[in-house]
Amino acid sequence: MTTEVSGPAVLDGRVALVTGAARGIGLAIARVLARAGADVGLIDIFDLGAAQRAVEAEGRQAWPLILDLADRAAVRQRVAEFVTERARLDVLVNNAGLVSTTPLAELSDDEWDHVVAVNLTAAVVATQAVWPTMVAQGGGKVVFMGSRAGRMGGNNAGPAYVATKGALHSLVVSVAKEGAPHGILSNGVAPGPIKTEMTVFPSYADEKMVTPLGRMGRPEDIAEAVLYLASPASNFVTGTVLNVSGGALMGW
Amino acid sequence: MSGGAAEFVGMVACVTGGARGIGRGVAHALVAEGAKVVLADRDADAVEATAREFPDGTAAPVVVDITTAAGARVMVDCALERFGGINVLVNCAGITTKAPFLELPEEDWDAVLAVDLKGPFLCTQAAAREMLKRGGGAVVNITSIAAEQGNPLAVHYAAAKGGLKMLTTATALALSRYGIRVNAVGPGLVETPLTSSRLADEEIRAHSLERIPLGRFGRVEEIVEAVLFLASERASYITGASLYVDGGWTKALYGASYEDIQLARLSGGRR
Repeated sequence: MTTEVSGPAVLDGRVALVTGAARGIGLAIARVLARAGADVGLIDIFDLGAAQRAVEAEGRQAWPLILDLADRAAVRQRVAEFVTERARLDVLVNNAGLVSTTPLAELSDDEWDHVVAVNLTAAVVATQAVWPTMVAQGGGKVVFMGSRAGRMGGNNAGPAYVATKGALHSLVVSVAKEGAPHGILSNGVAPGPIKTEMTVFPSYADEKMVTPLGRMGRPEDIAEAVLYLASPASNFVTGTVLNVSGGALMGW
Repeated sequence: MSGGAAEFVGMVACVTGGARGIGRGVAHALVAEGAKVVLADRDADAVEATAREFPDGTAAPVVVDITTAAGARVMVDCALERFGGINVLVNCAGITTKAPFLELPEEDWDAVLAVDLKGPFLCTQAAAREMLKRGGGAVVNITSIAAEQGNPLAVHYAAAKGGLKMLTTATALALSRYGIRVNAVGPGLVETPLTSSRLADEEIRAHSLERIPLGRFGRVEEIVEAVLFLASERASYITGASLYVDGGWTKALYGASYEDIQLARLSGGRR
């Protein structure tokens, strides 16, 4: 378990749960965790067929759960049920997130509430729902998806996205401290510019100019960092947010 | 590292401070993944003994002073001559002394800054000049939690490691156009031959463990896992980053490690 000294990034026999797994970064995370040997629970409001096929193509079991992450009660119940049925959970990846570009002056209460619910509250509630099981089994790994926007204030994103991502960075550390005595390790990945369906912005038009490495990141770039943090390779790493940015300035 | 994925097959790495501790561990892991390594160290006996631990033809010891450009060049030339290239540089070599700030000798400052900061600069420059001819490479600098939280008994070390953290960021920007990535791994308190005697002191041991959220010391192999990840293609979009492998210590806000006990002993009990 996570109290053991670090070893290879292998997840054979482990159970993982990935939110926002239908596409983009979440889909890549599900595939990479499965490739490392994990059976994977998949949560999204969208069709999970592609994610299920990706996991099964790696010879692992997939459990799709169609779920609206803005529905706090449903998240609490379905995640708890999932963990109870498996009787264990080794890895929770709180990946799901909405991009909101609405400026402050135009941001409605409803949009703010929705973005906070999906980006932040769902991560808190899902972590709460897996907590008793992780404590009982002597540990586990929780990985949160942060963002360059959460460090830098955002260039394309608006205040709702920026604030929730900044909050997730803080949550990483808080959960790390509370989890440490139980062997629960908490870390984050902060992606820089990543090419997905969610990130089609004019400022990303010329990919070569977006990062010092001369390319935008791909979902796989993030997924490999998540695997490192979700696997026994990082058993002495907790409370950290790893920048995966192609060298793009991340603030700190 | 991923269970013998052999992800460094055909690659050549230079590891400074390769004779012992983290450098030795990194070198072994790289060779296990298929790389050839140059072990650079200033301790001739130790580096030659370490080189004999490796399978024939996989490791070359070289005795160099990395605080000079000539020394850094000798290390890189060794990689070119023995193994035909250089793809990875791991700057592990580091030293420190301990002294209260008011008594810290100027020569200690110079010696620690030379090895811990100027050395990585010179080695990265020498290595990058060759890496760019081969389309890129990866550099990993071993920093320290001292880069974030300081150290009252080793302000020179803390300043050097803080400098190395920024050297990481700045060289990442300088070298990205050549496909060379530069990242840092910041170890917390790791049990090595170097730290074991201090950690044998019960008061220091207990005091330190209290301050590490995970409640244990790190091991060389955990630093090695982080180094191999950042050096590998799995991290091909990561550059300029610092990854702390510290059991949560940098976020614990408990201040420096057992130095405050040593400081208290030196100052007659006042912390």
